Amino acid sequence: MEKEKLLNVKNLTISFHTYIGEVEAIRKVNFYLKKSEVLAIVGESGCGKSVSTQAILGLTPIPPGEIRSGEIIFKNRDLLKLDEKELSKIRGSQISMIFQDPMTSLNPTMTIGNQIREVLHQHTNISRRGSRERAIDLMTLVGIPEPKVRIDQYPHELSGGMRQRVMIAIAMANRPDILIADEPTTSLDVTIQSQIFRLLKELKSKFGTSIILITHDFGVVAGIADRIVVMYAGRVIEEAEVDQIYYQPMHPYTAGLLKAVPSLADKEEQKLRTINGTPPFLLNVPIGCPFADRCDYTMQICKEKQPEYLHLENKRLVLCWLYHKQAAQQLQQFNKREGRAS
Amino acid sequence: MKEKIVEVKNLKKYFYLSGKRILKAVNNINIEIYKSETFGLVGESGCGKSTLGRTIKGIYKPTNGQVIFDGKDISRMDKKDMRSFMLHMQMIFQDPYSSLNPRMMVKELVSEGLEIHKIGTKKTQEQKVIEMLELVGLTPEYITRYPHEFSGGQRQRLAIARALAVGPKFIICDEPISALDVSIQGQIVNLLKELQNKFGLTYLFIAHDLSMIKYISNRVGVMYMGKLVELAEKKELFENPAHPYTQALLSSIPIPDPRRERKRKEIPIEGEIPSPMETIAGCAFKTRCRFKKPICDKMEDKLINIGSDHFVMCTKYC
Repeated sequence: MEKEKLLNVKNLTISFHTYIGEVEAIRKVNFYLKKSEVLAIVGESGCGKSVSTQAILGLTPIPPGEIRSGEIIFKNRDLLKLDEKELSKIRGSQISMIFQDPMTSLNPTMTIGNQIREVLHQHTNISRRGSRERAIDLMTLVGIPEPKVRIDQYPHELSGGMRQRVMIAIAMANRPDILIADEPTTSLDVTIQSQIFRLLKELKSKFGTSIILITHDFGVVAGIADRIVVMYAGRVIEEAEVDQIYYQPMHPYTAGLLKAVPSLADKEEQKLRTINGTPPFLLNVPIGCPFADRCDYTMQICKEKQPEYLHLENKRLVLCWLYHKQAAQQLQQFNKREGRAS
Repeated sequence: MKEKIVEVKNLKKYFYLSGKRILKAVNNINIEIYKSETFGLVGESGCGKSTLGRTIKGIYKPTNGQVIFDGKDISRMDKKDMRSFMLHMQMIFQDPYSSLNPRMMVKELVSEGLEIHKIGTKKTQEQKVIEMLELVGLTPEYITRYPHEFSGGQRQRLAIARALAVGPKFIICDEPISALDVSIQGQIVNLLKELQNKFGLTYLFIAHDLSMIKYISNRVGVMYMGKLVELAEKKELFENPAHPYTQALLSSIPIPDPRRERKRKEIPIEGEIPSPMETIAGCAFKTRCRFKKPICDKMEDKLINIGSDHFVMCTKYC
């Protein structure tokens, strides 16, 4: 089991020191990534999904950030212990990243071609002519039409979807083992979004790249993810295979979030099920479960003590007191409302 | 017979740019919106849906055509008449961070409309503010707070309270939930529906999220490059999309259900939206259409009724 984990994030805790105090952005986060799989990390803004993945590439701003504890194991090395020089050898070659907004992550004063070639020269001894050819190949790979013309254009001459393809070309330039995509389609239109997801799927099957996909939207990852990690208020609250999450969510937050989005496939609409209230502010982390205030199944213990991880059968993991053996009655209610036999 | 509240007739809004370029953001649009319905307007970014909303509200002066609201042609009114008349038409914007003045207290924000239109005394205005806050699910204690003290969802509630304070009949909601978290979106949509039932409000709901549009609307219009290309009852539109663009658009929406999502058949759209500055003769979608024929170059801007009040602008149905 340990062996097949390409990347393993263990007990990661990161705080940010702000003027008003210490904000515990993520606490004891655990997740792993296997070879050639797509892991989706789902959660709302401020849940810590971006903070967790930025740490992998050493992109956490320190200060104000501080890594309190944890390990990020990649190829038998702890990425948190590497210095900047060693990290920069991994960044862009073995692990690379694409961001939400392709306009701000590309350099507006450099041609597309030079931006792709920069990352090639950084990590290999390729010749100048060779890198130009390779850049054209990469642009063809990610579906940019007329790459020979486009290579000398600047980012502002390209549409949002094309810019995101350029970002993917840069990220894939050195055939990374891991591609981290942080909300890659959030600023794009739905027709372009589906093109980008199709491209990511193609790249995965062609090169066996493992992908971490960060998103706030359960709607978009059903077709691409193999496994899903759900985060809430700085903690991983549930982790399971994609079908298990969608058809049998175990955490009340996951269940609520899934029902909060209307689907085009819904025949008749009922009132949208909502989750009351808002996520807690992480300046004062609640003593108990961070979801207790918004949960329909809150028990006394939820307000007093942090739940512990429960590993359930089928390799599932959930952070919720409902699955404690003393909470059977409350769990029955939850299962009943979810239309499920317990 | 359904009563019309808003009628948009041959509406055009062009923006004149440098170098004699013209951006035809809204290009000859006809829409009727009935009392107490929610009219959903969808389209991808740059299709002109927000410009249409703003032109209806009178924020932009139309280049050509008419907007008739409550029986009066507002495109021809002078500024002063318009101001008092437009009290009944309010707008809610996408970004509750930039649409609320950070220097104004909740009390001032919500009562600003009443103040401008000189409705009531200071005292009745304050009562109204409290009433509005309760209506949108905020506690009256918030009255002396400032926008930065609220979360995105709460701010959007404030924006709704502000719009409702003057007692409008018609509200234009321009992407009111796109900036909010998923768990909060439902709260706002449910609130909008509740208020609609309570006051018989009419909404023009502009969004790019088709599942939400399907959820909230009665009728839906689809825009592409400044034109309304399809219009139908919600159920009809989503079950039998007629325009090739609508078909492709609907097929590209991911389904939040893994088994169905794996089986989803997508109609890919070739290429990208042409530059809005380009003049395309005939059908604007022909550059990307699977069914393109020579006749498409000569298509007129006319919505064809293909039965059960389903209108489409496409040569396939001529």
